[in-house]
This record gives sequence, C-alpha cells and structure tokens, in this order.
Amino acid sequence: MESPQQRPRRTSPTLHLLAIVSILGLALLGYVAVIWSGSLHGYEPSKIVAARDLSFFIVIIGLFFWLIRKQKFRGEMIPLTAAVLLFAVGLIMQFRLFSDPEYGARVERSEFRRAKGQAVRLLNVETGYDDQKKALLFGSPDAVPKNPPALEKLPDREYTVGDILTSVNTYIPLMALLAMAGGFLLFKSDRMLLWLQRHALIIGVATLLPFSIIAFLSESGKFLGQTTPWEGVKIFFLLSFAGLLADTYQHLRRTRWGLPPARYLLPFLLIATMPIVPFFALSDFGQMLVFFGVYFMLYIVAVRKRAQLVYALLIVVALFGVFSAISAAKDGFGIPARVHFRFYQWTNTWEPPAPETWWWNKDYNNYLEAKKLPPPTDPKELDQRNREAWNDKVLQQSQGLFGINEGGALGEGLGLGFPEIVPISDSDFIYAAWSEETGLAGALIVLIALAGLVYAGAAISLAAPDMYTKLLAAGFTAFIGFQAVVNIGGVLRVLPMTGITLPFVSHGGWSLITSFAMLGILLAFSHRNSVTRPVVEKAPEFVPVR
Amino acid sequence: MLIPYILTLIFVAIGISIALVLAWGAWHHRNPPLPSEAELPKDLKEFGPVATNRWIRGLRIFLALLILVVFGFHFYWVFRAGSSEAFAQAKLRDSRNIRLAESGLKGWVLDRTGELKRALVRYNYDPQSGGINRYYALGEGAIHLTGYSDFVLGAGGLEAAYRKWLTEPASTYNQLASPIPVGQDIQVSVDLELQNEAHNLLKQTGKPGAAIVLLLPNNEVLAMSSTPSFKPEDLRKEENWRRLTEQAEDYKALTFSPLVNRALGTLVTGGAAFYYRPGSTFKTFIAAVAIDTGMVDEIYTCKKGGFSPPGTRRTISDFDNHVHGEIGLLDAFSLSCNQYFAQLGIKLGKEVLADYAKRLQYFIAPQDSIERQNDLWNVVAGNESQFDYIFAPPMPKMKLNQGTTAYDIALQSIGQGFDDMTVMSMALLASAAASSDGALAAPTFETGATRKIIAPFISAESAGRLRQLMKAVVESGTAAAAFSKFGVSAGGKTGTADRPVTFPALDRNGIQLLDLEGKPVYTRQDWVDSWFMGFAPADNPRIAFAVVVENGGTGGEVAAPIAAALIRKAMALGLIQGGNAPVVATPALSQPSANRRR
Repeated sequence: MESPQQRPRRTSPTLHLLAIVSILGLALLGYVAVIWSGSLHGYEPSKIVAARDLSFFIVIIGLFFWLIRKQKFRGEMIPLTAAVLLFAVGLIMQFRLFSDPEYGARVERSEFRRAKGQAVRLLNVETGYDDQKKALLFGSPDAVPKNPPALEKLPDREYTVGDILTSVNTYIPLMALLAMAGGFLLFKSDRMLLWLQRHALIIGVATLLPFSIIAFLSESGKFLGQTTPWEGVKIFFLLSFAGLLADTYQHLRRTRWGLPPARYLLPFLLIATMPIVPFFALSDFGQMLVFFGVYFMLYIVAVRKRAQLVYALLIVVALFGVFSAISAAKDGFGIPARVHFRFYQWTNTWEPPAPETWWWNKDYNNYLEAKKLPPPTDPKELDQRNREAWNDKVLQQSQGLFGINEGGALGEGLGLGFPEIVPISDSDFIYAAWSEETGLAGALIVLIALAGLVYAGAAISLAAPDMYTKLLAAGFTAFIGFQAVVNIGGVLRVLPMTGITLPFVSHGGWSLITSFAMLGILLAFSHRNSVTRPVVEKAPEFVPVR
Repeated sequence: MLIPYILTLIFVAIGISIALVLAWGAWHHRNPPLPSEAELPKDLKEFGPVATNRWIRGLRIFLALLILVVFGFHFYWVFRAGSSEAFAQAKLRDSRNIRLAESGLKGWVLDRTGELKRALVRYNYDPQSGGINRYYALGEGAIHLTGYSDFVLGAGGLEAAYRKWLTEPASTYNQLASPIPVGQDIQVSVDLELQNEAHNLLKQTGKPGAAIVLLLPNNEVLAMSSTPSFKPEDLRKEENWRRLTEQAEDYKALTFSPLVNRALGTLVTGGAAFYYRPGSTFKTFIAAVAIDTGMVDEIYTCKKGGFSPPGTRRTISDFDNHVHGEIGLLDAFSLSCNQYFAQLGIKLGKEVLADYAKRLQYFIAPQDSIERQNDLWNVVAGNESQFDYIFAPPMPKMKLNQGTTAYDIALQSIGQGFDDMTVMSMALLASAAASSDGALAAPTFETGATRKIIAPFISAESAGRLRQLMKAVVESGTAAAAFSKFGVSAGGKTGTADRPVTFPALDRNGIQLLDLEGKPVYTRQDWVDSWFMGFAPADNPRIAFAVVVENGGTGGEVAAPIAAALIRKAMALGLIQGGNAPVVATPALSQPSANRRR
C-alpha cells in the first residue's frame, strides 16, 4: 500500500551529506580568513581553538550517519542542514570575536585596544615605510620592534590542549548535539507522544514549580553566574500548551461574537498565562514576547477564527496606547524603567530624553557618578552631559547599526571590521557583528537559511497526521523563526531591543542546547510523518453549545 | 588585507549558494494529500487537522514575511540610512573612527626642503610606552598652520585641509601585508625655520598678531603664523578644550581666542572669524589705482584742523595731528599723509575704486554675512573643498556702492571705515605690487604649483612705480627708523589702524564677569593695530609679506621691525638669493612736491 506518492517527497540525504561537508569546507575557509586578518590586526587567533571548532563538524557528520544508518531516518533533512549552516556562521563569528584580545579580555580592555592599535602601526611601519623613515623613528631601519611593548606586558592568552578539554565552549556544543539526538529518540515513539499528550496539564504545572523557584532565586536575569537554565522550559511549556490545545480546540472553536465559551476559555487561559509570573520576575520581556507570540500563533492556527485575530490586534494596539500613556506619566505602575527605556530607544535612538524623565533620571545620575562629574548647572553643559550619558547607554544599538552600515553590501571582510566594540556582540548582537564583516550578502546566508528552516519546519507540521504533533511542529518552527526575527529585529530597530539570542548562531549555553533539542524533535516528527500511515483523529466528542 | 577579504567573498558566495539550495529544497517540498481527506464527513473536515493546514500555511507565510521585513530594514541601514541627517550626525561619534585613528598611519607633512628631519608633522616613537604617535615638530609655533588631528576634538589646519591626500595609500603601500593603508606624504611650501622665527617674533610682542610671508612669483606660503597660540597636547585636557570652543562660539569673545588663525581671519577648524582694519597700509591700494589711472601728479594741502570732505563737517586729520602742508604722492605715501589720500580717494571716485577693488576680488557692497573666498587658493593635491573649508579666508569688503558718501570714501582711502581686510588680503596686495606683471596671483601651499593668476590688477609699469613709492617708505619714510637697524633691502607700507574691539570683561583674578542674569559682561576698547606690509628685496622682489600686531602701537615701531627680522632670516636661509623672479625696469618717479616736513 505504501506507494511513493503517499510519503512526502524529500531531498536526498546524499545532497545533505554533500552540503554538510561543504559547510565544513566553508568553515575552514572562514577560520583561515579570521586567522589571517588577526595577524594583520595585531593578534594571533588560536589555531587549537579553530581545530576544536572544526572538529564539531566531525561530530555532526557522525550524527548524520547515525540518523541515516542506525535510525533509518526517512524524513526531511533541510532543517538539520540549515541549522548546521547557521551554527557554522555562529562558530566563525564567535571565534573571531573571542580571538580578539580586546573582546576576549575581561579586564584591561582599553589596554588591549591600545596595544592592538600600536601593533597595527608597527606592522604598517615595517611594511609601508622606507629605511629613512624607519631610521628616523627607531634609530636604525632594522630596529623596528615586532610587538609593541604594551602588548608584551599584558597577560598571555595562549590556549593549550588542556584549556580546550576543560572549556565549557567545548562541552556546550557537544551537549547541544547530544540534545538533538535525544530529542529525536524520545519523540519518534508514538507511545511517548501519547503519554505526553495525556499528561499535558501535569507537565505544565511540574515545569512551572522549579522554574518559578529558580526565577525568584535569580539575580538580574542570571542564575549561578551567567547561565539561564530556564531556556529549556520553553520546550516543556510548549508540550503542555500544545497538548491542552489539541484537546480543547474543538470547543474553543464554538464562538459567539468571535468569543469562545467561557467555561473552556477561562481554564485554558489560566494555564496558558501561568508562565508570565516567573518571566516577569526575571524581567525577561524578550523571552516573554517570543513565548506568548508563539502561544498565540498556535492558538489561532488551531481555532481558526479571523475575528479573534482582529481582537488580538486591537488588544495589542490598546496595550501599546496604555503603555505610552504610562511612559509619559510620573512612574511606570510596576512596569520596570528598563522597558520604557527600551521603547524610547526604539523610537528615538539618536535623541536623548530630558534628564528629569522618570525612567531615565537614574541612569543619567549613575553616569555622572561613574564619571565623577558634578551635576551640571549650565543648561548647555546639562544638555551635553545628557547626550553623553544617553550615547553611552544606547552604545550597543547605535554601534551595532553603525557597523551594519559600515559593512555595506559585501562587508569589511572577516576579522577586518570592528565588531569587538559592540558589547555582547557574540550573543545578542551577533547578527550586527556578522553583517559588519560579511555585509548584506553574509546576512543573506543567515536569512535564507532561516527561511529554509521555517519553510521545511512548517512542511513537517503540514504533513503531521494528528493535531498534537501538528501543533508541536508548528510551535517549534515558529519558536525558532520568531525568536530569530525578534533578535535580528531588535538589532535592526524593527522592534525594541529585547536581549534574546539568535538560534544556532549566538554564543550561548542553554539557548543553544534548547535550539538543538527543538531541532531534534522536529526531525523526529518528520521521520514519524514518513514512516507511520497517516491516522485520522477520532471524530470529535463534544456537545454543541447551541 | 586583500587575502582575507577575498576569502570572505568566496565564503559568502558559497554560503549563499548552500542556503539557496536548502531554500529551494524546502520550496519544492510537497506533502502527499491525506488519502482519506475526500472521504471525511463534513464535521471532521471542519474540525480535523486537515483544516488546520490552511492556517499553518498562513503562519508560514507570516514568518517568511517577517524575515523579508527584517531584510528590508537591513537594506535600509546599509544603503539609505547615510542620507538621514540624524544618523550621519550620530555616526560621527562611532568608536570605529577611534580604532582607525589609533591604528592607521597618515602621511607626513614635510616642509619645503622635503627633508624628513624637517617634517612639520610626522610620527615619533616613544620607547617607554611603545607608542607611535603623531608629532607636531613646531608645536604651538605652527598649530594654526599644521592644525591637529584628534578623533574626539576633530581636526584643523593642513591636517584637515589635506586629509584626503594624507590618508590615501602611498605608492609603497603593501595591500597584502598591511591592514590599513599608509597615507602618502605631502611637501608643503612652508619653511620650518622661517615659520618658527615668525612665531617667536610675534610671541615676543606678547600681543595677538599674525604674519604671512609669500615666496614670489608663485605666492607660495613660506610662513603663516598667528598668536596667541596653543600646544596640540593642551587640547587633551577637557577643560581647556571646552574653554577654547566656548570662546570660539561666542563671536564677541573671539578677540582673545587662540583658535583663531589671525593670518587668515578664520578658525583653525574652519569657519570665518573676523576682519581687520588695514589702516594706512591700504594707501598702497589707493596709490596703485592713482598710478594706474595716471593721477601721479596730484598735489593736495595737508592743513591744521584736518580735511573735511564735501557733505560733512567731520574731518580727517593725521596721526598726532601732523601737518604736512602742500604735498605730492611720493612724500604723502612715504610719510603716510591721511589728508592727501582722503582727497586723492575722493578725486579718484567710487566707480574707479570699485573697478580696481573688484579686480582684487573684494566685495564692494557691505554685507552682514561673512562670505568666504572659496576659489582663492591654488590647490593641486588633495580635495579642494576640504582645503577651502579650512583655509579659505573671509572675502575682503569695501563700501563703494550707490549710497557711499565722500566721507566714506575718504575714510576707506586711509584704511578705516568700511574697509574689512585680512592679513592674507594685504599680503596678496603686496605680492601684486611686487610681482613683475602687477597681477593678483593665488597663494598656495604646494611647492610644485605653477603661478595661477586670479586677475590682472595694475600694469607692469604701474607696479614698478608703486614699488618705488614703497621703497621710499623704507628708505626715508615711516619705516626708515626700523629698517636702518637691520640693513636689509625692502619696500613696504606701515599702518596704524584704529579698531574697536569687544571682549568679555574679566575681574582682577582673570575670572569672567557675569551680570545678574548670569550672562557675560562685555567691555569695549579702541585698539590701535600695528601693520606692515611689503616685499624684499626692494629692487628684485623675491618675497612679499604682511604683519599685524594687535593693539601694538604705530606700524613703524612694532610691525616693521618684525618684518625686517623676517626678511633677514629669509636671507640667511637662502630664500631670497637666487633671484629667479624676472627683473622689471622701474621708471623714475617725478618729484612734484617741494616741501618735505616731518
């Protein structure tokens, strides 16, 4: 009975093997470029780190064969290859940034910066000045020092094999790849899926408890140093939400004036909105935006009511209006100043607010304090200081945009730009860093790969035979796609800056692991679509409200 | 630089290809129709997963649109943002500029000898810190000339005027080995030692002043100095910088600002500052017009109580109320008789004066705004508009239009009233008088540049006669006393100009006085500027110059000795010997006046 037409046509695994090997070659090219530019910019990128990064691709190729041979993978591999391409882009950019002594150093950054500049000047003198000029500068044409003394005084950052073996940067990508394999193994079994769907409510509540505890223990959005272990809860919440939605969507579809019956809607809303509390405690509004954005997308896809789409848009507009009104008022009614700041920064990046604005005043005073400046009395000086403080505060956004502008269509060349001056450009702002060095063309690699991933992911959802996996596949796809758009949009001022990562590209522990786990689950669904006969769900059992 | 860039291009090309293959694969992916869809009962079709697919396709299009929007924004920031004023303004603060300034090497500015050791601006190496830093050899002695270059404070002078040239890669630039181009050197016409001498002479007076020395016939600038000056490293202190720029923004406080290049009447960072009254040096202009129109035999009376032009009761009298009696052109010029030139100017008439003023590119109607002479300089290397932004002096102005009265002309004939001049415009007038063809030639900073004539001024013969007059000033006139000590041959004209100045009032401790509203209090004083302009040597001019010392006293006592010292230095440096300028036969001037009284 199983004729070829009845299974999704898929791209050949050979093509994907070829693509992954090409990406390995591509990465090699990128690393050579970065190492070469490093030597021109006064630092030496570590070749051991480069070798470590490239060996990740060996693991990926191993996983590929594991999927094909051991697991007899029958699904579509486009999401995997697209993710590997994004991952390669991220690895190269992170390598370039962390090789830069100025970016990599936690202390004495300005010292490293100056030393770097002097090293370039020395190199320029060595290669560009004639003997007469060299003699005038250094006494004799052969006396040009190799390295500026300032660089030699700074601590040595040479990596050893031991460093590599103990570095988290080695383990996290390996764990992420492992998470992908794990996700695949778990979610390809029907029994597991059935169990998950049955226990959707319990999964939600069980996730919420530890999450809330960690969230309330955390300090300024970080836990145990610099980690964000709650990244993984995204998957569990989504499992719970999709399970509940698959159970009740038929009831929720019965609407009057576009509104579902309250006895179904209210319990559902209660469960769906529970994660708001811990997210609020973390004041992680970027995650919240992505999270509830995806929830809403799934809901509307399942319920299919145009009226509710309109209601939702109206609510967003109304919230926006209320928010603006609050922003103009004396204080924020519980919404942190940072949110107002980010919104203002989004709409007026280049013009500072008045220094006495309630959400800005504290930052302004902090700036004066940090610079040990007395409060200015002269209005002209006040304006000047206010501008300085503002420029200092919006540095990340503005420098990122300058870099993108500077990068132009084809970029400055890998390692030849200055993305190291943008704070956190290895994670939140990696898109800006990448665009500066490879230009709009390089950014297209990221955008096209993302589009391919989203398209293939949605195709998995389309082919899914049952509502639960359909919603899950759409959810994970939307998660990856929407998170990427919110991240890039924040960099490009499409949206307010939110501080979330770019999936597969950004340097990050838990976020990378979570992204790869989602990818593994998507692959499992794709596989499942191809091997199981499409099963039509049982006819709905509900009593019409009429 | 080139190799990693090419590698990146290859990387991007292959990367896009792989991404496109993946996107193409995703696009062509087709799921088979669910086999039983057609047979489903109506209820199931409406509620089952199949119906959801249409909305999932919608979701997919929505996400793809979002990615497209993001791409559109990226496109905007790359190609369109530059034209937005706010963005361009903000981008000036980009820290990338600091990185480039800290790591790039600009060209050196060499003096006219082209010797590396005598470079005006170069790099030096500090073995202590290991830094290679921009070094200004003369420091404050040439800061208005060389300018400075700083990523926070901006740039000025030659550094800014020739920025394009200095940052463009030199022919020795190795694109494979260097990350950032090494700029090419420029050789300017300035002489390091003469420049230093000019600065020292002005500094010794302890007063604001300026001097320009031009080398004939191409009007190459040998020295251009202005006091008060500042050291390039002074700017690094924030309070110094703020004080300087605040002064520069307050036009009334410009009087004392070290940022003003008094030789040109501009700010060192570009922008017009102020004019001078040329005083009696401007009689050179009237004399030139008189000679060129053949009015050399006029005799006027210089009487007690002064000369009262028609239409007014106000009078023009001489310095210290001197009375010269019946006097002719030569004596009137060498003794600097105000009454003579007032009468001569009125006799010449505003039409004739306006005609000659236009030849020298002066405005002949007063204007409120200060326009700049953007086409004055002869610029070959570098970018002309960048150069003019820094060095174009304000346009010299007179009032010779319809409403001009005889009294206005009389005042302007002696360099007062509506005469708005710069030191450069007076040096160029001296240069026109000193040149063999009597033409106005463009000044230049470039040694290789050819003589560029802006406009003919007077005939060659008239120029020769004018030089005779100017020679008499040095030999027996108002500058004779100053020049007798130096024993150098020159021609010139002294000037003592009255100029009202306004400046912020200071209390006894040098702190600025403020009124009750917190605004600065200004005081007004009448200053007497000391001028000397001319050429040397007298018979075969090789250099032309103009010197001013603000509030210095009479031109013969203060400015003329500085000029004489400069000529002596130029001779010692070998700038005057050689005599390449063509010799012009000078006709003897008749001596109509009989009475000579001092």
